[in-house]
Amino acid sequence: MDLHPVLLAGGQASGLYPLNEAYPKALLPVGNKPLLYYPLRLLEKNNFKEVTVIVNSRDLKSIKQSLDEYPRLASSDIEFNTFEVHDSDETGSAVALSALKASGRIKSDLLVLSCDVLSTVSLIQLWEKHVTLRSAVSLLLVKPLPSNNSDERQKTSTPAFGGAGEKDLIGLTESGQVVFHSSLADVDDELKLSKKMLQRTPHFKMHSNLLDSHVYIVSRWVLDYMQEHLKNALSFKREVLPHLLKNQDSKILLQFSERFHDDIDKLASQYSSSPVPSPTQCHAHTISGAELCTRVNTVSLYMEANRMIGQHSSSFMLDSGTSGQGIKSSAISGDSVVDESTQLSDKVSVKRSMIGRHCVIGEKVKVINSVIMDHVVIGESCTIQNSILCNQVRLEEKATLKDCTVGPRVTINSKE
Amino acid sequence: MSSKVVKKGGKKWNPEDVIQAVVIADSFNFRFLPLTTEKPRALLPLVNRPLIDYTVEFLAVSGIEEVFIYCCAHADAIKKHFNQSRWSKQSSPIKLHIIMSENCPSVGDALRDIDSQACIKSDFVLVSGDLVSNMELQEVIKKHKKLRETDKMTVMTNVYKKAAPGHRTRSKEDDILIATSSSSGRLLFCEKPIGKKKISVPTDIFEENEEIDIHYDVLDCHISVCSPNVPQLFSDNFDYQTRYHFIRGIIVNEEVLGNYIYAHFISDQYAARVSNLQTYEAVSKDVMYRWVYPLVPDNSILEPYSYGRHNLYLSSGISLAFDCVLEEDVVLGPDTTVGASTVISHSSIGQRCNIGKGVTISGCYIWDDVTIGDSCKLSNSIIASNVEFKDGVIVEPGCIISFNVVVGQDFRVVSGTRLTTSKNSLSFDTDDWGDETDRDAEQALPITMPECVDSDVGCGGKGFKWDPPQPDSDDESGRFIHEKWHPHITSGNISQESSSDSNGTRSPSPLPLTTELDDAEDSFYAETLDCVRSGVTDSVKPENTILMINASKHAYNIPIQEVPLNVMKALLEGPSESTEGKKPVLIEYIIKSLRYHKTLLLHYVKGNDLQASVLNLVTSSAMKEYAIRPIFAKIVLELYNLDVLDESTILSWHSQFKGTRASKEQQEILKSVAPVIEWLENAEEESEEEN
Repeated sequence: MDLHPVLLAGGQASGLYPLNEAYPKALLPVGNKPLLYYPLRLLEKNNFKEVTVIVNSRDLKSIKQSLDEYPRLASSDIEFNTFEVHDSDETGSAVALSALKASGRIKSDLLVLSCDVLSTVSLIQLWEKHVTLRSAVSLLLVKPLPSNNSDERQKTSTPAFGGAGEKDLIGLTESGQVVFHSSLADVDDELKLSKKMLQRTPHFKMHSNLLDSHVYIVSRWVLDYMQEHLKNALSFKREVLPHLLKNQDSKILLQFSERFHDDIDKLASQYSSSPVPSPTQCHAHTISGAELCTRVNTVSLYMEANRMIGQHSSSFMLDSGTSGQGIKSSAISGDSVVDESTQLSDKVSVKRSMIGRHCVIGEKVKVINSVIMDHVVIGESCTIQNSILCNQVRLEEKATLKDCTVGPRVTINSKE
Repeated sequence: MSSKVVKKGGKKWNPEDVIQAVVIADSFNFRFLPLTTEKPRALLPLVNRPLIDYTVEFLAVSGIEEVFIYCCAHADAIKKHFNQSRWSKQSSPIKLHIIMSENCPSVGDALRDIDSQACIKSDFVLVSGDLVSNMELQEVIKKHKKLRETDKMTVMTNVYKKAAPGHRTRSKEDDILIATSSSSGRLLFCEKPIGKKKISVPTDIFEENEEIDIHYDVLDCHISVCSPNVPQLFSDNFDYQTRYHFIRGIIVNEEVLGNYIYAHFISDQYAARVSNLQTYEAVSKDVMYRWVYPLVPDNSILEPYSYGRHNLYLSSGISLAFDCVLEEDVVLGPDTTVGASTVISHSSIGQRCNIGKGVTISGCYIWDDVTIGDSCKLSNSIIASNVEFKDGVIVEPGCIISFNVVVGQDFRVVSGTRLTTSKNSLSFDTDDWGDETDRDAEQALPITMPECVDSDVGCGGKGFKWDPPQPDSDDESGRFIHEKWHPHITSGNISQESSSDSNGTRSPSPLPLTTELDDAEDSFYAETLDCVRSGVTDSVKPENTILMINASKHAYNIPIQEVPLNVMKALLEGPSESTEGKKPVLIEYIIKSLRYHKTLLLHYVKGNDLQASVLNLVTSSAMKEYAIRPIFAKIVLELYNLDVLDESTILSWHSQFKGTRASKEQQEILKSVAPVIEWLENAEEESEEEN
C-alpha cells in the first residue's frame, strides 16, 4: 500500500473527562497498554514500516517515551517520526494535517488514523477501493452486529457513563459513495437536503447505525485544497469532510484533483467502458462488526474497550502480562489484566477488570467490571463494581463503589 | 366499516376475496384546458384510445373483479362511454359501477362519498383515471395483504416507479421525495419539493430507524392498495383534500393514529400518469415504443392495427397516396387518407382524418375527423377532433387546437397557442375567474364572445385564442399551475427539459456535471444580496455590512476577487421583487444604495483589475437586463463620482469597443454612455493642460 500513515495523537479527549486529567488521551491505559499502541499494532499488522505520529507539544515528552518502549513490548521494527504541533486553542486535526503538508513530508496519499482506534481490520480493501474509485477521501465504516451484540452493549454500558458514544448519520449510495456525514447531535430538528445534491444522487441510504472508525485515506490533493481554501478549518471530520462531501463533483475540486491525476489516468477514464466516478467523490468501505473495531472517545467506550481487550487480547498480539503474582488465593478471572508490579493481598477477587502498575490491593477486595489505573491503593474489604479509578486514587477500608468514575489523586474516606 | 357483509352464494365464496378498485376519473385540475371543456380528461384519446380504457384494461388484466369509477366533470359522457364499451357486456371480466357526482371538488371528497355509500368490502386498489400501466398489480396486493397480517395498522401500500430526476414521465408538479425504512419498507417521509431549494426532513426518523432509504429517483404512480378503512379515515379527517394530504397526515400523525403506509418499488414495469401535457406526450411515445406492452395498438380487439418496422401502426381502410412517407413511430387510425408527398413522423393520427398533399407532420397527436389541407406544416402539437386546417397552415410547436376549430389559409399558429371554439371554457367552475378567462384575460368582457377572431385563426377560420388563467396565489393545491408545454423547441436548454426530448432512447440523461454550479456561490450571493438590501432599508452601518459579507465569504469559502463582483451584482439587482422595476424608481434606488454602500464598494474594489471587472459586470448586466440599459450611463457616472471607478478604467474599457462591430445592445449602451466619455476625455485633457 503506497500510503503515508499518520497517527493523530494530539487530541484533547474532552469526551473522556475526568480520565483525561490522568493521562493524555494517547496514553490512557487500555488492557494496561497505552491506547496509542493499538493503532500502531494495526499499522504493523498491515505491513507499514514507517509512521508519522502527530503530537501535541505539551505531551511530546511522555508520548516519545512511551513510543520508545513500544518496540521492546511488541518486538517490532516500525519506525516513528514524531511531528510536533504547538499547543494552542486552535489545534485540531485539520490544522495538524495542514502543518504536516506545509513541512513538505507528504509524498503519497495519507492514511489518517485517530489514536483511539482499536481494530484488527485489514486495510487492504479500503485501499483498493480508494485506488479503483479514485476517491478524494475514503472512510472505513463499521457496521455493528445486529441484535445480540447491541443488546449486550446496552446491558453492559450503564447509564452512569452516558450513551455508547455519539451517533453518526451517514448517507451512502449503493456504490459506496458518501453523500452525507454528520454527527446526529449536530443536526437540528430538521435535516436539510439540497435539491442539487438530490439530483446528483437521487437515491441513497441514511445510516444511523454505522460507526466512523476514524480511519481515513486522504488523497494528496485534498491537502493542497485545504491549504488554499480551508485555512480556517480546525477539525477534519467536522469541517473539512462535510465541505468535501457537499462539493463533490464541483469544478474547483475537480481542478485540484486533476493536478495529481496524470494523463494516463485521464485517458483511462476517457476510454473506459464503465463510467469512472469523478475523482472528487468520497467513498466508504463498510466492514461488519464481526471484525473488531471500536473507538475510545467516551468513558463508556473506554470501559468497553478494556473489557474487549481482556477477552480478545490475543487478536491484538500484545503481551497482556496477566499474572497472579504473589498470592495464590486471589482469584483472577481469565478475562482480567493485572500488571506484574501490583501487589495483591489474600482473598482478592478480580473479574473482567484491569489493574495497572504499582497498585496495592488490600485483603478481601472485590473488583468486578472495573478499570484501575496506576498507583492506586485500595484498603481492605472494598468492593468496586463497574467503576473507573484513575491513578493515585486512595480508597480506605470497606468502601463500596458502584458505577463510579474517580478522577486522579482522589482519596475516598469510607467513614464520613 | 363494512365488515359485516351479507354473504351471497355458497360458503366457499367470500365476498372479501373480491378485489375491488376505485378509479377517480377526474383530475380536479385544469391542465388540459381548453380541451377538457368539451371532453373529460379520462376520455381524451391517447394513441387513438380513450385514456380511461388503458386504466380499466390494466385493472382487468390484473385480476380486479369489481371497479368503481368515480366521475364528476362530464360524468354523463363517461357513463355513456362505458355503456357502449365491452366492459358493460355480459362477457366482461369485471363488474363496473359508475358513481356520478356533480359537486365534488377533490379526491378526498370522492372517497368520503364512497365511504357514505359503503361499497368497499375489502382491500381495494385506488388509481386515477389517467393511469397507463402494465405492472404486476397482484404482487402489490399480495404484499399489502401480507403486511396487513403482520401489522394490522397498515392502511396503504403505494407504488413508486424508479425514474431518475428529469425522466420524461416524471411530471414536474408530481416531483416527490420519499424516505422509507430500509428494513421494513415503511414510508417515513414524503414531500413534494416544488420550487424549494432545500428539503427539510425531520431528524427523529433517523434516530428511530437505523437505515433509511432516501428516494428522489421515483415517481408516484398514484397506484395505492388501500385497506377498507381508508375511506373512513377520509371521513374522519375532513380536511384531507388529496391523496398527498392523506399520506402526509398518516405519516405525521403516525403516533396518534398508529397507521402505517408502505412503499412498493417497481423498476422494470411501466406505470405513468397522463397528468399534464408533457406526460401526455411522453406516455403517447411510450405506447408507440411498446414500453406498455401488452397495451399497444396492435393488441386492441376493437380496432386491429398492423404493426410494422419502425413502429408503424396501420389500421384498416387507410388510403395512402403513392409517394407519401411514413417515417417512424406513426399510428394511423381507420379510414384515414394521406395525400401525395406528405411526410409523417412520430405522430399518432385518429380515424377518418383527411390529410392533404405535401403536408409535413412531426410529433403531433391528431384525433378523429381532422381535415388537413395541402402543404400544411404541423409540429409537436395536439389537434383535437373535427379540426380543419385550410391549405398552407403552419402550426408551431406546443400548440393545442381544440375541437371544431378551423384555421384559415396560410395562417401561422404561433408556438404555445391554444385555440378553442367553446365559449364556456370553464363551464364547470365559474365562480371566481371563469368569466374572465375568455379571449382577453385582462379585460373582463361581459359581452358575448365573437364567433371567431381572424387574428387568432386567420381568414375564414373559426375559433379564438384561449389564455390560461393566471395562477391564483392563494391556491395551495397548485391545480392551476399551467406550465408551458414546450416539447421540442427547448433543445437549446440544459438538463431537465431536454431529457423529455425523446429520440427513441429511454435511458434518463445523466445530469451534466460540468454545468453544475457550486452551492456555495449561490448561497453566498443570496446572503450578499440580503446584506445589501437590508443595509439600505434598515440603515445598517457600512462597517457591519462589510463584517457580515466577510463572514459569509469565509463560510462559503469564496475567493476575495469574487466578492466585489457579487456585491456589485447585488446592488444592480435592485429592490426586492415586490416593487416593480419602473425606470425612475429603479435608478433612484440604485443610486441611493450605491451612495449608501460607498464604503463597502471602496473597501472591496481595489486596484485596476478589480475596477475593470466590476465595470465589465455592469456592462454585461446592462446587456442582459432590459431595465438596466437606459440607466447604464448614470450608474457609471455615479461609480466615478464615488471614486469607485477611475477615469482611466472607464476610458480603457471604452476603448476596447473601438474598431469592433458592436451588437445592438452594445451600441445602445455606448450611445448612452457617450456623453460621459466625452466629458471624461475633456476633463483629462484639461488636467493635462494644467500640468
